[in-house]
Amino acid sequence: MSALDDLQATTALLTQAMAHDAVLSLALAATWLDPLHFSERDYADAPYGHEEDPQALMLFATGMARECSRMLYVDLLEGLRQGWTFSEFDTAFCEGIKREYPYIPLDSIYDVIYGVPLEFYGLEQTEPDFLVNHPDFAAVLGGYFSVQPVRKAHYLDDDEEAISSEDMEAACKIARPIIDSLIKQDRQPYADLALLLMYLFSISHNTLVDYTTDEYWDGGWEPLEWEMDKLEIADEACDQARIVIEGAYRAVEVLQTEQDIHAALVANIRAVQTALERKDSHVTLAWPHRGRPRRTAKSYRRAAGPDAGLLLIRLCYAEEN
Amino acid sequence: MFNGTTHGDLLKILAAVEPVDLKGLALLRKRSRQRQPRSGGWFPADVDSRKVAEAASEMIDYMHICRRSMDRLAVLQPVSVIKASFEEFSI
Repeated sequence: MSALDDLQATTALLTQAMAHDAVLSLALAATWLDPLHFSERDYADAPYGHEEDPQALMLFATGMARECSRMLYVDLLEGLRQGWTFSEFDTAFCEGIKREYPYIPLDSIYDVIYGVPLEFYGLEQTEPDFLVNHPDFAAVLGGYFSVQPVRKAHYLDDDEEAISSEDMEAACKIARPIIDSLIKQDRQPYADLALLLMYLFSISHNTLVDYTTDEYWDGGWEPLEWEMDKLEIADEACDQARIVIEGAYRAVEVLQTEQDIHAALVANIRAVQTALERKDSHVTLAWPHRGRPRRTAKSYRRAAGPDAGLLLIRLCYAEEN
Repeated sequence: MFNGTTHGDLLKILAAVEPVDLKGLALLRKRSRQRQPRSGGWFPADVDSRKVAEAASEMIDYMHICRRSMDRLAVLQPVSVIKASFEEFSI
């Protein structure tokens, strides 16, 4: 029993002794706080070919945490020392990333290999699926911008455009001055209407909103690396995309329920169309009166509802205009 | 650059450099003062994780600096010694 006690005490006695030696205590601290520094395998290299290997995934994810969140890094190290299972590590890693970057769509450690996960919301307006999956948006294009499907979706060939690209381009030219005018209103529901038109014509300047997953990867972009600044940018882009999409759906509802705004949009589109035909660059657009919000937050980040939409328009698009 | 600085001077300068006081070292020292002879672990276990994260951050940065210094030292150009005489090794 006494020998066992001595054995158990050995670690503590050794660490006490090491703490009094400059070199040994530095070695002990480095091993405690940053063991990846001594990793023989290059933890920064994605484990391609070992995507199902839990050890390789955990090493890679711990390396990502080291780069992106020191808090998460030490939590993971502590958990690993306590003997976490792969599942416990997976949960802790995803929760840790979510805590600091709440809009990054990370559900599993298996997703980390291919760069920072991103969700693309882009519409493929000329694809037959667009008419089936987004009937509300197709109705806005058809009802307001006269962009009608060539034929009903189920009569289309696989390589045939459901809506012609030329019609979309022509409608986009009309939409741009309308969006500018909506932005200038600096109130709701016009901010949401602006977001709807930006989304419909893929002109929001947010890649997640304007591109589909296939378009993005076919465009030749590299996966977003796990670096702190890139995570911050991705998180902000995801947050903005969420606000744009929510605003677009609210705007569809507004057009269906608020008749004066519906009528104003129809009249304004007609006015722009006429001005474009006459090659007149000046056109005055009018919108029904709506009150400004009484209280306005400063940032759209982590805001919700119409306030978030208005702030996004104000901070990201009004200044640009 | 080395005018007037002898090998002995350089040794004295290096010997006089104070050890870097890293937060991680302070946490280890604090733990060693709290006598826990039967705790069984190599590393402090009951430290606030925010403090550990700060210490880890500092340690990672410190080791980056060390590595950069080592890389620079590794590519230092040799200094030509023109005036020195090595009579004892005459061939």
